[in-house]
Amino acid sequence: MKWRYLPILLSLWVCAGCQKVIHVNLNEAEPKIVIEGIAFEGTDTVSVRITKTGNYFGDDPIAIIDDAQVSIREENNAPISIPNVGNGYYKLPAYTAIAGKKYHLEVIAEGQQFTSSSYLPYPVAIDSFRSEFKPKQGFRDEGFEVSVFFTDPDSTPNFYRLIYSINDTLRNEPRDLMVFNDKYNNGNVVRINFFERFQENDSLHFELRGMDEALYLYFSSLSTALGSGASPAPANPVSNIKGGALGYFGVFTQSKKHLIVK
Amino acid sequence: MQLRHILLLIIAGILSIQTSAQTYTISGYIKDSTNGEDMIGAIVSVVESPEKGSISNTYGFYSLTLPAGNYTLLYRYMGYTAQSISISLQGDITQNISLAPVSNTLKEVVVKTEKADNNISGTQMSVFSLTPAQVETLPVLFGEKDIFKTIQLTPGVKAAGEGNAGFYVRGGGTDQNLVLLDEAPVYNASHLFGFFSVFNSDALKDVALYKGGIPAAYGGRASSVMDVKMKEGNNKRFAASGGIGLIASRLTLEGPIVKDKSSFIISGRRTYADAFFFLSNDEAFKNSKIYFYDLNLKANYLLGKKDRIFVSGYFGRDVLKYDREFGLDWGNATGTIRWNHLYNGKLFSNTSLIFSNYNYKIRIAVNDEDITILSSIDDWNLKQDFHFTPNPDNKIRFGFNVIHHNFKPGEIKVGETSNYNNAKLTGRKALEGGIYIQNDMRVGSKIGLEYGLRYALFNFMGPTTAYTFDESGNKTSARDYGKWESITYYGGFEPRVSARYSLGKTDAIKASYNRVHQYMHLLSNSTTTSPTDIWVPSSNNVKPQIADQFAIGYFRNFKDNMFEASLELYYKSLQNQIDYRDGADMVFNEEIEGELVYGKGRAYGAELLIKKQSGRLTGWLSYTLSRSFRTFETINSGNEFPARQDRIHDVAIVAMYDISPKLKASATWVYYTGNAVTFPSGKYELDGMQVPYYTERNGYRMPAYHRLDLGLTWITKKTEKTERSWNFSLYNAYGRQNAYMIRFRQQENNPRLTEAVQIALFTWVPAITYNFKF
Repeated sequence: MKWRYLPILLSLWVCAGCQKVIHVNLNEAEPKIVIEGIAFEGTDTVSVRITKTGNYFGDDPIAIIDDAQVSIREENNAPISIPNVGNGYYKLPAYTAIAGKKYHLEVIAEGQQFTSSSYLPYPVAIDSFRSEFKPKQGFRDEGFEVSVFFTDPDSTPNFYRLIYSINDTLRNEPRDLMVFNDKYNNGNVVRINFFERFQENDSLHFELRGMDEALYLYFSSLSTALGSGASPAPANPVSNIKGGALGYFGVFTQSKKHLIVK
Repeated sequence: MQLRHILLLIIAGILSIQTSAQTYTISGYIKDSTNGEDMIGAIVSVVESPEKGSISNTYGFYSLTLPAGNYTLLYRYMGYTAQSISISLQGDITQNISLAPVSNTLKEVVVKTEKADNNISGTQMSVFSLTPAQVETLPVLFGEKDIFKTIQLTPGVKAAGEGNAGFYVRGGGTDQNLVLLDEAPVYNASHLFGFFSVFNSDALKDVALYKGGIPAAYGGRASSVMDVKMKEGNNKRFAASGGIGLIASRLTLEGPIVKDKSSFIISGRRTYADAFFFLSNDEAFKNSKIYFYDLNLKANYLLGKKDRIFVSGYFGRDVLKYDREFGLDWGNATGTIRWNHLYNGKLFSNTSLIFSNYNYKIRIAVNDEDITILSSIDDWNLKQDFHFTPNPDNKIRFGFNVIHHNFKPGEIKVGETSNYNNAKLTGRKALEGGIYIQNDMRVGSKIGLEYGLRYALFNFMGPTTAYTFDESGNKTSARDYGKWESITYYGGFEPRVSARYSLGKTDAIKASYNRVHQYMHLLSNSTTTSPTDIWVPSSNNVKPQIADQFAIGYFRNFKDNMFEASLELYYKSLQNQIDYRDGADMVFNEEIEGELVYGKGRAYGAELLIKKQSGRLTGWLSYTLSRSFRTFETINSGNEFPARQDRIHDVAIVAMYDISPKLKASATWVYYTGNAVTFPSGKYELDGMQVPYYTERNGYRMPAYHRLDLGLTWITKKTEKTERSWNFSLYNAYGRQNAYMIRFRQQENNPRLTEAVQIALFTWVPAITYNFKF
């Protein structure tokens, strides 16, 4: 236990070490199909993964579906089939997605049909960074405080996700999921700060993704579903897939930038 | 019972004034002889015909109309020496009475007071009342005598849980309880997320919680009314009382402004948990704050024999601040002016004008940002109540209540260099009201009937913008309305009936029915009730909640009223209950009404209470067996599911034992089966993470909760006017880690695997308080 927190804990009489792993009996629901489909603006690979749910505490390898028929089409154009490459993945390399257009995914798996649509917004790029050394303050260690800047267009509502990795390790825990909209700062320069402080020479890769409103609803409700315990009524994320599958299909804009902290 | 029947009964009651013999009225005020406090619920009876009697009202006023003649009147109140007066009734008489508390010195005294047999003789059922003397020796969190927490140890009332401010009554939600502090509604009746209540027990006079059979004089919340009355202040001499404790201290000062005519009382309380922060070396903690305070100010003045004026104010605030970066503070402020007027011996009137404000403020000042978020509700409330007692068999009350609500749901103010924009949510206004009439009637010696009718109304009005939404919650229109322009009007009749049939001197059967409309709703989307939960008015989108409750009970006293026992069964049906869409955006949302879904609920249960009221050992045993369900079309595939507060078994055992006149011990044991919760029934991989898969809503249970609290009060000095004592208490004496939350997460070492983690808030919490009175 960190002693410097003692005054706060003393004053609150809150139990400092009262967290423990427990055994809970959970039901085993009927497996449900999960579809995760991603495409990017520009020419890039479309990647779709089709799997099924498993038992919560199970250790079995994930159940995959390799015999589905998957296709993508742009607006009213002809659908293009996405071939299976094994392990539940379906990939179509060198597919061009254009900003301002709507894309549709169709999946036929285990005799059921699933469809989804995603609108590709116009790209928004990361403008710049700032990094400033700060001493230890309260709950935060000493280190560099990093901020990422970009300019939000004020013509439309925008929805973003920020992904980052430190020294080639992708920050991929549920608490790292950062999704936001421009409700409070439409049209302004947006500054994203990190609670975590970084060390000198840390290599940081940032990726700013833009998405449509349905995807924003998916990821923000995903964030709630992952933070289970804080909500009295956790629910599955609001999927943009019709037909009864979990997961999402999204076409994203991407802006990647690299920073070495100094 | 139809409207027609109720009106007929009321008229019959009024007409039953005996016209053959000349009748006269004895009336007056019953007060405590040591401090002049009005006594609520004191019993006046006629020795020659014990069925004729009266009870003093909330201002200590009683009225008894009898045929001319000679009588002996007996005035009684539990814990006080009874007084009898002989009168010759040849004209209207004003008879004020002062009752003296039973002498309470350090000598061993066999206390033989008049024990109230209200359990059997009163018509009101489903009510639990406490005097501060009864709360005095209970051990509760942090050694504070907390009437709010004590009420939660009674049948049918469940604490929302550690870290939660509210409570559930008979399967209802936390926003379905009307908490009144000297007639002013209190929106958030607790501090620091439920650890402390806003009521300073030193200044409390009387508390009653109505769980069913709610009298027509009250309205606005579906499940209960908690009516809290504070003391008026000692009008005979200056007195002070208080306590110094490890976490919080309190002080009450009271005294006469003009002896026997006017008095004041000032009562304050503050925690200083943050006093320990200065011990830290860390700059951030040094500048942090965590405290709350309560301040009650009251004064009253007797203007002649027929009029009395009361002025009171309550201010309470919680402050949380982390360094200079983040601050959250919230609180209630109320101001009340009341005027009592006696028209004649039979007609008493009270007029109250109340202002109430509830607000919170969030301040964020990080990285060149300076953002303030504000939200508030302002209420102006006018109440008029008449108490008319035409004869000993009828006590009639009638009046009205009008509240003007002004909601400012949210405003964001940013600094000049901010990257964020100023924003403001559209304000909302509404007028809420009620008109009622009720009669507490005796029919012969065996039957009591309390019946009444309330008409409740709500007018949602401008200036504001009203929205409409489609089934998926998308906005379909927006229309502006002008000042006072009505957008939606709701109104409805609320019959309220309670009946009692006495089977003998020691037992009675009671039954009741009530209907209540609720026009204000609390939206809370987190496990911990938060001060930033949102109150929304009924509108063109949100319908009023309606509760219908039936209750029936058997009441029995044993051993000359030493034991009170009751078994009550209830059934409650709820309409227009509110829940949220999946993925609802609850934060600063102008179109928040589009995120709501509506359904219905039902709850039923059996409550057993056995109370020992006198002797060295006193206390009670409470057991509740109950269920509470909700049904929403869009949740759980439209199937009925258990409400969160569906705790099937709920037990509380409270014992207070006088080891000696100087030493009192107490123990409380609570046990309840867990809340209904939603746990995952599967998982899947997405974006490299393990995501829980949910199927049924509230299909699982939290583990059972139980704990033991112990307390010891050691009175070091006690005279008629002074008292010094030490109170030692231990919350959760056997240190059980009761689950506050169960989280499901990926394992640290092996992210492909998942685990369940239980978080508990408290283990042992000792507290020491030094109390004084002089």
